[in-house]
Amino acid sequence: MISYPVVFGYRDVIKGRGFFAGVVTDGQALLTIEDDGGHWLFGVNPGGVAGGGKETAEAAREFKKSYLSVLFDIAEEAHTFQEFKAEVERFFHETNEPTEAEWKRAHVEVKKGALNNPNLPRVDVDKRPSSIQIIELQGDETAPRDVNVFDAPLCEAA
Amino acid sequence: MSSSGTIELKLVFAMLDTCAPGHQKKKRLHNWKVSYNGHEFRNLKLGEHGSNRPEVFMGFVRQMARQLLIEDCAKRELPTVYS
Repeated sequence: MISYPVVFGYRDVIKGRGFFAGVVTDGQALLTIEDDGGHWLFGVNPGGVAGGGKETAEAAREFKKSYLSVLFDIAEEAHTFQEFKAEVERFFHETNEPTEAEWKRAHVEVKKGALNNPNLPRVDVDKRPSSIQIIELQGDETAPRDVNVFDAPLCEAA
Repeated sequence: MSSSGTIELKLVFAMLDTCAPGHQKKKRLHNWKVSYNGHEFRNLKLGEHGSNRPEVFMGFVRQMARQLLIEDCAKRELPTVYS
C-alpha cells in the first residue's frame, strides 16, 4: 500500500429549498493505492468523505460523487440558504485527524523527494490552502453563462 | 481483503453499537449520517436499492472509523476490513 497527499478543487451549484448556492472548495485528501490495486481517496478536509475505484481517475470521480451526495443530503435537510451554508461549512471543516496525520507524513516524503506520483501534476500546497466559499446565487447569476463549474485537476501536494 | 471489497451494512451497524455506544444514525437521501462523541460522518452509503442485505465498500467503513476516532475498536470488531 502506498499513499500520496493530494489537493482538489470543486466548483458546483447546488439547488436547495428555494435557493441556489455556489459552493467553491479547495480541499485535501489522501490517495491510497491498496495492495490489491484498488485506488481510494480519503478526505482530510472535508474529513467525512471517501471514494474508490480501479484507478486514480475512477477514485477521483467516485470521491466527487460522494462529496456531492453529502451536499445534496444537506440541501435536502436545510430549510434556508443560511442553514445550508452553516452545515456545509461544518462538514468541510471537520478534519479527519488520523487521515490528516498520514497526509502530513506523505507530504514530508514528497518534500524530501522520496515520494512522487508520476501520474499527477504537482502544486505547492501553500498556494492552494484548504478553503470553502458558499454564496447564494440570485436571479441571473444562476444562468449557465455566469457560473464557473470547472473543477481544478487533482494534484499531488508539494 | 481490502478497502475495495464490500461488507454487509448490518455488520457495520453492529460494530458501531460496540465501538460507538450511544451514537446516532439518520438515514438521509443518499447516505447514513452517523454522529458520535462530537464527530460526524455523512458518507456511509445506503447500499444497493432494493437489496435485503445492503453492502458498502470497506473504504467507507475505514474512513468512518477514522472520522469517529474508533479505529482501534473497529479493527478488533471488523478485522476483514483491515486485513
